[in-house]
Amino acid sequence: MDKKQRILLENEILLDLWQQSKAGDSGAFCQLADKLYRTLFNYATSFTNDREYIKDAIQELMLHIWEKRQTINIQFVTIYFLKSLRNQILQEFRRNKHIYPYLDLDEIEEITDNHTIESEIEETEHYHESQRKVRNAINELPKRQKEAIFLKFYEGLENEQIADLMQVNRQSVANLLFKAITTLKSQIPLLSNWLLIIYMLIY
Amino acid sequence: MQPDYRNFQPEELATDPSFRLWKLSNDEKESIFWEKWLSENPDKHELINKAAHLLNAVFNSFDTVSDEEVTTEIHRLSYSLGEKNAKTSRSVFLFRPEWYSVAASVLMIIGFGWWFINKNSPAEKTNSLYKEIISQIKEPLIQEVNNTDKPKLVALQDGSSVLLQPKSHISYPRSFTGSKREVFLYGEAFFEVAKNPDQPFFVYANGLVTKVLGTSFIISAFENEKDVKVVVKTGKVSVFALTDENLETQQADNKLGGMVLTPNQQIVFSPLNMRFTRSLIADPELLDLPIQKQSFNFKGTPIKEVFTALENSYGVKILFDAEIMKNCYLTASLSDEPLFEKIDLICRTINATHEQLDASIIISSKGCSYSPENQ
Repeated sequence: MDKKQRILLENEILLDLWQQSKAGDSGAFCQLADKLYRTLFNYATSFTNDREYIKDAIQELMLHIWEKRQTINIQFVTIYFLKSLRNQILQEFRRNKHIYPYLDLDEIEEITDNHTIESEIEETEHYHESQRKVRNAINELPKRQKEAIFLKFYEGLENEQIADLMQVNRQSVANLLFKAITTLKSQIPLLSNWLLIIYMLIY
Repeated sequence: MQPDYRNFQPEELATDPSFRLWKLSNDEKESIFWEKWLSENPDKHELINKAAHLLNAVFNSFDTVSDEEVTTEIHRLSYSLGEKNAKTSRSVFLFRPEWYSVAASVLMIIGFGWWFINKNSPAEKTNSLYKEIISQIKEPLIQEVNNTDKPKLVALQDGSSVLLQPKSHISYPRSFTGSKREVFLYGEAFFEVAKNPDQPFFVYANGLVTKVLGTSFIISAFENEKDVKVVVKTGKVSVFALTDENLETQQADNKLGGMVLTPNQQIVFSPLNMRFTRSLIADPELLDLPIQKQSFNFKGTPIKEVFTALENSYGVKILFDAEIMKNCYLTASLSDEPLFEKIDLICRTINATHEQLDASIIISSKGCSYSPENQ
């Protein structure tokens, strides 16, 4: 199965749920929300660390889409929801700069030391210690690079789709990804060691 | 046909659908392919490892939401959708567009019991703020006290109704003339707020301000003497501590700012240290007051039973001629409208009129000629 087919098939299942939702089946809509929830939540962590805020934002998005379902036409379900969530969150940030000053996207680009507090227990264990480093490496990426990494590797989207979502051109996406991967690769000697160990443990 | 995986970089492989199916979904077909490919390309073990590790790392890094959280959130969504559906069916039944605007409302209970007694400094500070707010209201305030042991119904000028619990009192202006509707509560009460986005509804209770724009259900209740508890059943309200800055920013606009509460969330506010604790209510069905559990779904129900249900929920007396109205039946789904809106909707449906006399509601009707099957 080639790439396009695979995406289309996945989308078909979601589209099916969406059509049922559109016809007024709230159960199908909840199933759809359930399928998309993890992706949406994790995507939103590219913008803010406030988990309760993210939950509220997704609820709001879902209710809004449900209310407007008659007028919404969707081709690619996941992309539509990701895009809507992104717009909603960024719009709210712009409106409430005084409430979310730390979320200002331009500022965030410059912050590189993103502190992740980890428990000491984790530190003592080799597995978790390594995991922490990987997580830190990704967390320390500038927000837009992190967002691109999410869309590319978590969601498996193509550069064109990422460009559409992030509202930049394809070249910018390629640049963001290149920078991010270069940064991560510079950590790879470190990463590959522990990863190899994990790999042997798991497989 | 198939890409030349030998020349792939790890990051390219990590985005390859076939590879992802194998690693992420444990797809049987793909794992047969990849195991065969690995045996044919033994030198590419490291490439596979690196790509797998990159995927692992990304998923580790981004996957921060637990299964419980997802379940809870989907439950919360389905709960909100349920309420929305109830409204939709009601709208279908009403089918008069101008009624939509009055249909939505807010149901709320605010509990608190400590603030007027304790004169500690945070309370003193709040006290002076209250005085300031009250001084800005031009209409004289009416105070309603409930010294009985049963809930007491208080009708506000805007159509909202308040079920005042025993040992509680509420102050409110005779009419809401300004840009907002403001009431002051001591004790515990159950609010059904008529929707009016242009005139947000504020409840001041023990240093906590609850702001409502309307559209749905809120419930809050009170647990002990010190804390204020607000529980939301459906819809949205915002709550914030009563401070100068908050009042300025929150009252300035018609949006819900502060800490926004959505369905099945509750907040406990401790006025002493101005602390909020937000949590999810474990079982939304376990609510204290009968009214909170009540959903008014009638299907070809004799009008007598409808009125009995309302009497029981609101503690009011509904007077009507049972003999004349014996052929009146109601099919409707009512939920969070203020009591008087409910009565009004019912009366329009069965072609009756109503008036309020003291604590009673009097229904006048010429009777109904149709049978429930025709409704």
